[in-house]
Amino acid sequence: MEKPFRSVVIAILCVGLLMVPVGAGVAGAAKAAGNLNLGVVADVKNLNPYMGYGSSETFVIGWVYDTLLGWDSNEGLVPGLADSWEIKDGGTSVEFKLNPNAKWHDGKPVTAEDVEFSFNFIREKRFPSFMAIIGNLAGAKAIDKHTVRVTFRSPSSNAVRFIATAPSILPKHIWSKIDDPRNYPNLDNPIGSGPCAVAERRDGQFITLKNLGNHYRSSLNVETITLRVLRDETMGIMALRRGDLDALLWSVDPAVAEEIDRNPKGYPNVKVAMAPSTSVRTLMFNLRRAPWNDVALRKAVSLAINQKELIDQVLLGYGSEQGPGLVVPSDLHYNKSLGPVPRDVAKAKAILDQAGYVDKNRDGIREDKNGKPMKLEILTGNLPTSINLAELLVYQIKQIGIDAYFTPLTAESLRNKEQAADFDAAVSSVSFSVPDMMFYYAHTSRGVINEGRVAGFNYGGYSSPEYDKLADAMLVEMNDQARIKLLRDMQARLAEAYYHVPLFSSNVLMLYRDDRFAGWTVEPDSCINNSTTYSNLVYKGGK
Amino acid sequence: MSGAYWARRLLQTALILFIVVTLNFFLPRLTPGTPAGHLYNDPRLSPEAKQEILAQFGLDKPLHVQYAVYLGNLLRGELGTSFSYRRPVSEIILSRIPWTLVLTLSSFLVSVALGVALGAAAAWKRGGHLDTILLSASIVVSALPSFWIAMILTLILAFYWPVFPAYGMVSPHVPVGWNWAFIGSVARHAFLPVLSMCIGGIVGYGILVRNSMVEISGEDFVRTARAKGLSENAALYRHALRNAMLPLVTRIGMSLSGLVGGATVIETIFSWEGMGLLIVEASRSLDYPLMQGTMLIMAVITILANLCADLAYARLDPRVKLK
Repeated sequence: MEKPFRSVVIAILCVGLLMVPVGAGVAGAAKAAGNLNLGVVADVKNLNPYMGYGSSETFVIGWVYDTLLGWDSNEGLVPGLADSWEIKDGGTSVEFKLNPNAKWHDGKPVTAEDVEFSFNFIREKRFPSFMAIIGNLAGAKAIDKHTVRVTFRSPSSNAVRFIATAPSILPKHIWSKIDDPRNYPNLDNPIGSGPCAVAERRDGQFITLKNLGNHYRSSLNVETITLRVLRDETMGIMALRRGDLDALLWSVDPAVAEEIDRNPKGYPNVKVAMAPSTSVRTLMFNLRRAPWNDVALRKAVSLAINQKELIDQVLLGYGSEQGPGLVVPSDLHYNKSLGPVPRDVAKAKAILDQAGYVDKNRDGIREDKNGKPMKLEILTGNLPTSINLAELLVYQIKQIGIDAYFTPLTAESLRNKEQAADFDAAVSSVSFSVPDMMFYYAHTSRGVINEGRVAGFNYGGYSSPEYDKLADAMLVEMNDQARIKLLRDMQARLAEAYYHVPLFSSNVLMLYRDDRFAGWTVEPDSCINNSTTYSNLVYKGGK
Repeated sequence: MSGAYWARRLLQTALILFIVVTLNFFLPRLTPGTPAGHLYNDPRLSPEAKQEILAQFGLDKPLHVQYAVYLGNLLRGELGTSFSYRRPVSEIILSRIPWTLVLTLSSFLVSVALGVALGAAAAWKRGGHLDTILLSASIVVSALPSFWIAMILTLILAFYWPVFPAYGMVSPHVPVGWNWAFIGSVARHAFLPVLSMCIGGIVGYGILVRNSMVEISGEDFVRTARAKGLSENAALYRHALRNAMLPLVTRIGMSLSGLVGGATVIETIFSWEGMGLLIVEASRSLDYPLMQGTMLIMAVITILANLCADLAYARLDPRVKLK
């Protein structure tokens, strides 16, 4: 292991060791109190950890099963089922040391053989949700009872993060007997090694998780968690107001948050939690098309955009301005030198004049270098908020002399146009919470057109040899600090290209009650639905 | 009813069924998007991996081959495996139908019974208080969407005056089975959705019967019945109402398919896991086998309901001969 990485691991382990007594103190069943009721919109149809994709399913699977490591937005990888890990052979293998106290819910110990089985099971049974890494996953081998080595065909920092944090570890003694695991919903008494077991479940109605109180790491502080399925969001808000629920696990519409903020007496004990999301709304240009392949033109458009006005009008103020690096400030990899660019219409006009886009006939619309009036078609979704956003964008861009107009499309038609590279500009969104996405959204290879379709997500065809070099290096860089530096340099390249011009980042808005439980903790993106909240929650009493 | 009639009806039914089955296969595939799009649209996937995912869902083969597989499965009585539930479609549908029937059958029976009684009584005393109330109610109710009625009822009877549960089908911890606790819990949960559906139903059937009765009550045979000295009740129920039932039978026949199709809006509002919600869910997730299965069941029931309505017509109206 390289030195800087090793020091990070040691630091994390030290913090982990210091936290053990605290965690152990609160993890006991004797201290856990209160039944937490959470509203969800999605049913639990499948508790097969490798086939359950819905938000409620992943929530339950996350409590019933363990992953080798966890992910913290500030610290990066943190211990999970594995106490420690070491990257070996230049990044082609990782050795995990398991916590010796980990047990399956049926009392059997969790061993390296279970981990070996789980990874080889994923590879052999080819579960679709792991298809992206199956090609690079060479296999897993138990070294001793609590040590396992996972090997890759080629080094990849993403693969390490993905295999350590995404797949749940399954008990070999149960799953080795399942004949057709892809069609096994695992709804009856799933056995995991996580802090909770399923106590009761009714299709489409609710699922109750019981805190077993004997987990080696969890500090979950409530006796039970019940997810109540509410298909209608309005009914969910009414149920929360009535006190049937303690929180809603979906992001509510800004109008709902505004109503509660404005009229708190009408919603006693109901609070709005607000967290920045990792997703950024952007105006994406097609760099294959003239004149939008001219960076000066794109820069001028970016200077014409008033993010605050967009946030106030479209999100009722529940959002934040974003910088051109497209990574949000709450992210570990954020490049601090790339803050939001303030609107400057005069500067935008000067740039356009200097670049030769001048309004020669004085009709208020500039002409391009061929003397044609400058038009910009903006593709957008057909939902009311998307149309509202596009109307404002058109208004702002027109102020610098470009005849912008928008075309609303269904989500599928919009994607088809993007994939066919058939657009001038489109309202889009990017999320780089998984840093590798910076490769998939902007690397030259991901913008190549094959048989009329763009190969990847680089729909606008951004191409920069410097960016590609940084992105290629980032994918295989195993040293955390070096990788963060590469990611920040990539943001700087993206910022100067004005390929995706940032419009805003909307806030995640969740509702909760503070009369039965205290300790709700807001974190970026997950808002109140995060492990810190579940550790901090303290039952205050009440029915 | 001759043998030739039955042979022709069976042939017609088989033809309609074949068309339905074919549309059922192709229409979901015309919907924009890819099933399991959240898996398929992962930017990290190689073209080979994408192809493998399609193969796992049986979507890699040419459309005509998929169609042949679908027909073959249907002939064996198999509706396939749901993409999202990873369970047999027939099992999912069978688990939903009883719950849907709790809502639709109860609201249907209450609506028909009360609607017929009110409609007949209103027509018999045309211009009376009941008639005026029914006519006014029909104008008001037809202007109010069912989801609005449901929301208002919920606000009043579940939130401000919490007498009934606002959502769900049964309380947690109540043991499932034929016990009073379970039946009582289901009945309490079903009250508001059933009431929301009944209001429109009662008025709808009431107006239908009332208008039909008004037309019939002027006919000679009704006058004759009264002239013979029959009581008002006998003239109303034995003569007028029986003849006024024909449009009602047609309407009931048309409603039967809706009994299993569920009430999507009401099921969504009350989180009632019936067929209506299942159809919406299947369409949203582009779960082709589930879409096909639910639509097929609906189509078969519609075809059978129409057949039943034709037979009932022949029984009720001696002038109708099925040849």
